[in-house]
Amino acid sequence: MNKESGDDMAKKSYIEEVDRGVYDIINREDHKYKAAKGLTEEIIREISREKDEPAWMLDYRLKSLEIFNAKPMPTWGADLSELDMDNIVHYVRPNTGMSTSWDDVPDDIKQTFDRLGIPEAERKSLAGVGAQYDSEVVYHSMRDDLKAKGVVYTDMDSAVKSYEGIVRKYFMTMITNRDHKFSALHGAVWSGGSFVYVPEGIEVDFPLQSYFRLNAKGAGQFEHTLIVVEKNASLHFIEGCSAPKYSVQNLHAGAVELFVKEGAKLRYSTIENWSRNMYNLNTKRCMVEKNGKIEWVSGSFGSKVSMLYPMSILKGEGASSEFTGITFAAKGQYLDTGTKVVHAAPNTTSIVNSKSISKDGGHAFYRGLLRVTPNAINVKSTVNCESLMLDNQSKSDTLPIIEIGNAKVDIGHEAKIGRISDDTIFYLMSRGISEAEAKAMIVRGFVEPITKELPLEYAVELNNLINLELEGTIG
Amino acid sequence: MNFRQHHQDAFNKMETPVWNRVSLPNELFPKPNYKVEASITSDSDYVNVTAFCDAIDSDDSIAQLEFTAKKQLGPVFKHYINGYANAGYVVKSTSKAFKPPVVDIHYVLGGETHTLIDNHVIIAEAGAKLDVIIDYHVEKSDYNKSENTLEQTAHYGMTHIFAKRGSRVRVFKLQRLNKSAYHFDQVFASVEESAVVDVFDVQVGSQFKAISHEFDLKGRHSEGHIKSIYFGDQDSKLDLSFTMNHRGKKSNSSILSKGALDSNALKVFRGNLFFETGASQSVGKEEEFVMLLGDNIKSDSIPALMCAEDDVIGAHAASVGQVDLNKLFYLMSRGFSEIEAKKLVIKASFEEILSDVPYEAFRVTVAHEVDRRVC
Repeated sequence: MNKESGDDMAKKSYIEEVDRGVYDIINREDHKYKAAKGLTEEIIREISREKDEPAWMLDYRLKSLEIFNAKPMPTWGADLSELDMDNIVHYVRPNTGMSTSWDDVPDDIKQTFDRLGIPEAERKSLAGVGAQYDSEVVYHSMRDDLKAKGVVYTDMDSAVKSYEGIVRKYFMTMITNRDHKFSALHGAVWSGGSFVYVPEGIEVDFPLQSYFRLNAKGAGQFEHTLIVVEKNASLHFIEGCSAPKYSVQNLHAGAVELFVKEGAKLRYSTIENWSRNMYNLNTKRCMVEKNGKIEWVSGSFGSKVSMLYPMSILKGEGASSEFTGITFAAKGQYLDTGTKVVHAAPNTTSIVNSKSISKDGGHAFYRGLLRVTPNAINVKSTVNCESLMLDNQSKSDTLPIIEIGNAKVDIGHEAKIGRISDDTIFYLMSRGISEAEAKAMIVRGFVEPITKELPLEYAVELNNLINLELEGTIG
Repeated sequence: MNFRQHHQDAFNKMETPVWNRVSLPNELFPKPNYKVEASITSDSDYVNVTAFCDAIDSDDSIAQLEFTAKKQLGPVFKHYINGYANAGYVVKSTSKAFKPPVVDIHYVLGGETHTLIDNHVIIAEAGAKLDVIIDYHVEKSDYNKSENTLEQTAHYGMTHIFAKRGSRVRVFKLQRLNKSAYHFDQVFASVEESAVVDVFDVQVGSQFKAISHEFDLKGRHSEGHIKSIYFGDQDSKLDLSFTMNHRGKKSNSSILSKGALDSNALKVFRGNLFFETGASQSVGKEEEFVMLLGDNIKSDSIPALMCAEDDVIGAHAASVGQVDLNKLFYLMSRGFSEIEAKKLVIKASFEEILSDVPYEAFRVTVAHEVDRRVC
């Protein structure tokens, strides 16, 4: 074999572990408090004591623990038999308090967020930033003019004390501890997360961003995000998540509760890039009132197992929702994602646009629900899912469930599964483009409707992730 | 132990299943002590027709024809139908004539026979053709009788189709039982290399109907097509499940369902396309169109695409909406009453499927049934 063909072979060989660059850099664990592995009543009491919480929150945690212990592990969807809850550390407090200046954040943690581009993004294009490291938020800040207008953006632990009235009114009312096993777990051990309150009529012109980083080995992250956008207000909230890879399991069971009031608008963007040892069992729900609008933009790339179905409940007349999602499943990943939309009022509309790519034995599963209640007349909805398979070791499934409860509806649904057509590659190659670049171009074109919905820096990150993911397959 | 006894024993050990989306009616699985004779005609010497009950005793190979189904009404139904069948035929075709031979089977319920349990086996030998029409209906004299005065009629059926290499089988099923009837029917088709199987399924009668058709496209270039028409009467319940398993290379499938639902009807449609590893260059598509005519309707659609092979094309589409008011307005402005206009719109929607049925009597019967039932 000559050298040239040897190089070709090398390019074509499969790269099992792609270098995820900044995402995989591990910091030395330096924590102030780390709970013991597993989940007991004593651990819950310790977490609550550490946080100096009001009594009602401790009661809620203990009740949730009871429900968690009583509920069986879900058997549908992903295989969770390897998830050993007794080996998960449910609470890790980093060795720092919450700061409002990056200068006060310890160097190693600051470097992590520096590498992820968070402080730079704050300077350039964001109205506020929150950063969570393991179980606690280490940084939170927001532009002063928004503070003056009454916008609140802080960590959930502070909100429980400073805005107790609002928190008690909304906290875990939409996602309750009785919904499923992992919402009960969340109710028991939740820690960190962001609280945003946008008063009536205020339009937050730049996005707010919270970034969640899990550094501790074998730990869980259970942040709670609560956003209330009052009447005729608007907000764009961005959430980013990542963790370095370990050989043991990590667990993410966060909860996101969004309340969009009459005439308000909320865009919630997520780029999730957890490491391949992560079980991402997150729950997200949004309640939309009259003429309100929720827009979900969701990118799922990381984790070993994901079960994530952001839900929009269109409660008020004329409410609308839009879901744009991309899932990229590579070797060893089972990404079970989708969305749920409940049309519970007349004249509500929804659009679902989901794309998935699977490669190297990855399994992408789109699971969706569209429900129209009997009173919700004149509903319009379109659901579109497309899946691209890059090889025949991978799997791709779609299961969109449509439940219609009255006759005055207009519902359309389309789904497609396939691979990159040889003809298209041949055409591009006949124009002088290499096979690898042709495939990458087609994949980028496939996800383009999603990337154009993202803020610029996230679109760049998504393209980089796609290049990173395709590195092993193309050629 | 003989075939019937084996299945009766298995059935008697089982409990009635609980269905989540469409709850099953009470008082299922009667054990009739009579046989139901069908009126059956065949127009070819190359077609052999034997009563199922006779064939199962005399031909061991029939009992051994097992089908491993991914989706089905449930093992209870399988064992019940195998154990207590009181009707059904084994139809074998070796005809390679250009025009397929036709076997026309009519089951009439009413009078003393109100439970029909039929078991059909349809075999097309290599290169053979065969068309089978199966029509389930009640006595004409019962058409105008009040449902309260009629005995509870019920049909439980199972049809196995074995399409050998290069054969072509078309099965036309028409169910037009009385309004309060129960109808359970499943078709399993095993399709070998270059064979083609089409099932036309028309459901216009019965208060409760549960249908499960599944194709095993195991040969290269095998093809399977299901064309389904249904009309959900007032207060009726429908559970439809159509499955295509692509196992052979370059296999091709389609599922097309067109339905209309009247007030208080409940319908669940499940369309499943499975592409297994090795089924490269296969194409499968499923489409569902539902026309909603009345109030208080519940229409669930669960179209699933399960894909373990990349070199395939799989697609599904669904469209659910009210009957087009502009069309109705136009027809009414031309002198049709609202009901007549509705009937025309429904028949026009069904026409896309019925135009592929080469038997005029079948098409005319469906049109009459729509006229009789839409009100």
